[in-house]
Parts: sequence; C-alpha cells; structure tokens
Amino acid sequence: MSNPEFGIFAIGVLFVLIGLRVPIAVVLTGVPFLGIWHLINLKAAIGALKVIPYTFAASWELSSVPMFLLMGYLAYYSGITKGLFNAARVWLARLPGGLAIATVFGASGFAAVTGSSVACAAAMGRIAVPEMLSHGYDKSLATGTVAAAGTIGALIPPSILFIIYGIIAKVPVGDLFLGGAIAGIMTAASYIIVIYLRAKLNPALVPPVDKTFTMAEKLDVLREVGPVIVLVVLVFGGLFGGFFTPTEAGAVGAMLCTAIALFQRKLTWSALVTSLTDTVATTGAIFVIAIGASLLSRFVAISQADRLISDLISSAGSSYVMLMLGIVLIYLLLGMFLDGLGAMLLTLPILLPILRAENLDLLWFGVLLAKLLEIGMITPPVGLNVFVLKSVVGDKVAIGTIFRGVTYFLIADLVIVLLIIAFPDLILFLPSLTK
Amino acid sequence: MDFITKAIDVLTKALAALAGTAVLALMVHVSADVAMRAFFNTPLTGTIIFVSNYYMILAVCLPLALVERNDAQISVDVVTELLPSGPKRHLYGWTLPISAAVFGIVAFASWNEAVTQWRINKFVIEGGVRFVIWYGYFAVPFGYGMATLWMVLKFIRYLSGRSLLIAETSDEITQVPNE
Repeated sequence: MSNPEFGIFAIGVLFVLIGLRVPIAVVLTGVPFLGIWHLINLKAAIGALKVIPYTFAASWELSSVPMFLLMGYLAYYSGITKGLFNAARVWLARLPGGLAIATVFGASGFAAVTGSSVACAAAMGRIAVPEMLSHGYDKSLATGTVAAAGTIGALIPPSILFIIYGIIAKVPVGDLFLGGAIAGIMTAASYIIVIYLRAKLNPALVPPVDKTFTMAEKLDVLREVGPVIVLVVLVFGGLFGGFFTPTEAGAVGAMLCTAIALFQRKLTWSALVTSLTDTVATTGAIFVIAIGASLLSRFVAISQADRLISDLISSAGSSYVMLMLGIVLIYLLLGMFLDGLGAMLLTLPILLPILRAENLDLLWFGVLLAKLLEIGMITPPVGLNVFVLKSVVGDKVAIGTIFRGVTYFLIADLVIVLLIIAFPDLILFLPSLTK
Repeated sequence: MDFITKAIDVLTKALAALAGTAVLALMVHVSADVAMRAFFNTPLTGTIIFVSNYYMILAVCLPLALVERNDAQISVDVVTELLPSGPKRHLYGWTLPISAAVFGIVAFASWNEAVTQWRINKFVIEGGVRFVIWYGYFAVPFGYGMATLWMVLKFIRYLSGRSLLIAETSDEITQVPNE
C-alpha cells in the first residue's frame, strides 16, 4: 500500500470509528497519531502530540471563540434579547403570519449577539413558540419556523463556524462575517417569503392577531431593544471599520453585554456562573476536536492522500458543476448525521488542499459551507435545532411535526444554496468593498 | 471508589472554575487594552502574550475534564441508536478504554513537553518585558489527564454494571433559566 493509499484507508477507518460512537475528538487525535507512527515513526507521532495541542490552543486569533460564546450566553441567560421578538411582534403582528415573521426578525436580531444556531433556536423556542401556539398558529408551522430561523444564528455574525473556518483556511474572519451577513439576510428574507406565501395560501394555519398597538406602544418596545442595537452597532461597526480585531470585538461585546445586563438588573450571580460554565464547556468541546483536526491535517499532508483524491477528481474529468454538486451532496449527507462543527473540522483537512488546487475562492466557499452545514441542523434524522426545540417545547409538539414544518424552509434553503453557487458575487461583493 | 469519584469531581469543578476565571480575565484584559489604546493611545504591553499563553490555554484545556464528566464530547449516535440497549451499553463501554488510551497518550506527551519548557524556564520578550510562559504548558496534560481519569472511572463503572452517567440529573448539565 502506497502512502496516499494508506492515507485514504486511515480516513475510512476514521469514519467507521465515528459511526461506532467513539467521540470525534478521540478519533481525530488517535487515527492521525497511529497514521504518523506508521508512516514515519513513534517519535514523530509523539512529537506531533507534544506540539500541536499547545500551539493550537494558545492562540490570539482563536480567543474570539470564547469571547463571542460568552457574549451569546450572557445575552441568553440574562434575557436581554427577549425584547427583540416582542418588538418585532408589536410591529408585525397584523401581517398574515405576522408572529412567525416576527420570529424570523427576532432570530436575526439574536443572531447578531450569538454565534450558535442551537442557542438561537432554543432562545426563540422559549419565547416565540408559546406566543404562536396561544394565538392558534399551526403547530408544525410555528415550530418549523423557529427551528429553521435558528440557523440564521450561525450565518449572521458573530459565528463560531466562521471564526474556526477562517483560522484553518487562512481567510480573514471579518470578511467571512460580512459574507455570512449577506447569506443570513438572504436566508431570513427567503423564510419570510415562505411564511407569507403559506399564510396567503392557507389562512387557517395562522389565525389573524386582532390586537392593535398604539404608536406609543410601538415606540416603547423599541426603547427596550435599544441597548442591544447599540451593542451590535458598536461591536460590528468597530470590527468592520477596522478598529477592532475579532478578539477585541468579542471581548468588548461580552463586556458591554455584562454592563447592559447589570444596568437592566437582569444579571444574577447564577446567570453569570452558568454563562461562564457553558462558555468553558463549549470552548473545551470545540477545541479538543479542532486540535484533532489540526493533527489530521498534518497526517493528510504527510500521507499525500489529498493529492491522490485531487488526481482522481481531475482524471475523472469532472467539471466545476460536478465538483460543486459533489460537495453539496457530501455536506448535505454529512449534515444529516454529524453536527456542523464536527462535519467541518472532519472534512476541511481533506478538502482544503483540493479546493486550493481547483482555485476556488475560499471566502466564498466558507460561506457556502456554513449554509450547507446549517441545513444539516434541521434535516432528519439528526437535526440538532429540531432536537433542541423539541426539548424546549416538551410534549406539546411531536418531533415529526417539527420536521414536517421545516420542509418548506428547506426548499427555500436549497434555492439560496443555488443562488450562492450561481452568483458568487452576491457573497463576495460586500467583503470586496473593505479592500 | 465513591471517594475517588468525589475527589475527581471536586478537582474537575475547580479546574472549570479556573477556566471560567481565565475567560473573565481575558474579557477584562482585552477590553482594558482597547480602552487604553482608544483613550490614551497607550495599549497594554504583552496583551497578546497574556491572552494566548495564559488565558486561552487555561480556558481551552482545563474544561476538558468537565466535558468528559458531563458526557458532552461530541459524538455520533445515529448508528448506535438503532441498537437495543444491551449491545449499546457494551459498545459504549468498550469505546472508553480506546478513548482513555488516546487522551492518555496526549497527556503523557504534553507532560514531557511541559517539563522540558519548565526546565528551560521558557519565556518570551515583548516591549522589553520578559514574560515567563512555561506554566501554561501544564494545562494540556492536566486537561487531557483529568479527562482520561474520567474515562477510566466510567470504564470501571461499566465493568461493575453501574450507570455510566456521572451527572445525577440532566439539569446539572444544561441549566435553562426560567424567564
């Protein structure tokens, strides 16, 4: 067996072990270790374990991950984003499907303080689902909207996926954030169209809300979301204006979030401790996999398996369309079984050298990848957003009902994916302005 | 046995608390640096060194014990969910020694590295100031090592027919506040 062939064999073993429920971090650390031992020697394999975990973790760039996680958890546990849905509801309630449309707006606003799709779905699930159900909204529409709207959380900055992708693929995180903002806004717009059309075609799904709000009430709710808007404008204005690095934006954001929550008397001691505990637990779980992915990259490079796969692709005479179709299918399939970050970290070490060889724009690809991974968050059998939502709504709604409600949004998602692939400039336009 | 579990549990929570403190320090330190730069045009010396070599390494590695204790390592259940509970338990039980071996090797390798850095009193210099940074190297073996201990402990629990879940209730793992 040649080295590249051994590399591909090892990657196969990796997938089998992951299927057997061995933790992804263990597989991503263990297989490259044994692989490097086989291809070079034990000393080289131990050497990789000595150096890579420390150098990967002790990183200034990646310190934006815990900072943005903390900002999101603080916003979530202190409830300072609760007003977002309320404001959208007051302004949009009278539209057909207005509460569901308000949910998409609320999720998009929450997305600007959190980097996680699951957190976004959980937060909206607890606020918006009871409201929609109490107004007689169809269960599948109400829950499907929230599960799908959660995916906006990882597209609109900050986004943990983009930070880690940016570091690994060597693409500026700020540019990814801008491209992701476009993808997020496109997604939100498409979801609103889906809700509006469903409401128009079948008004029974969304009974009208006959409550009217006075202008004074409408202005009042805006005051409640004011601090969150200031937070978002300062953090991302500073980041995109070149005043902050991503780490600084995250730290200042978390600090401002703490200050707002303290000022509004919403930050309890237990909310702070829970936010910190969740931040470190999530940071640990993410980085231990990322360290493994870093080891896998080293192993793939040593075995040159990437070149063999690249050669296979080019010798098959595959066109750009075929390559993209292959990538989309692979990620949709992986997304059905793996969580987004795991799927990304598992595949990037293999895929990045190929993408570079094919001269694909890695900024554009990062945004496409995030969109594909987010679709995986709502597709069965493993749709993390759907699972989280189910745990939030409890026995009131069956899991199949949520998946059924998501279907309509999946169609919109596929249209967005096609648009991103057909018109890369949609994504690249905004980041190119900052050059 | 229960005493050992309790002791590891206390240590795990202490490490997580230390990691949480590092996250808070990271937030305050970087914000202070930004403020000093913005208002007085004098950024703090060594911010990048503090963030990467002190705070980050603690925030990333020390919670690994908590992650393993709470069964919060990311893994794929799809295939194994199809199995009846008996075989599922055995499969899960026997992945534990594999996991322990892998994390144990990382702990061993990184321990040697940490000792090497300690012996040479590893430091970096920025802005004319000398920062000793070998301490952080010990976070890696501590984190991976403690996670390994949990894996071994869970494997012993499996062999003796006890539940593999350490956290008593699910609330303990994910606390959702009541708004």
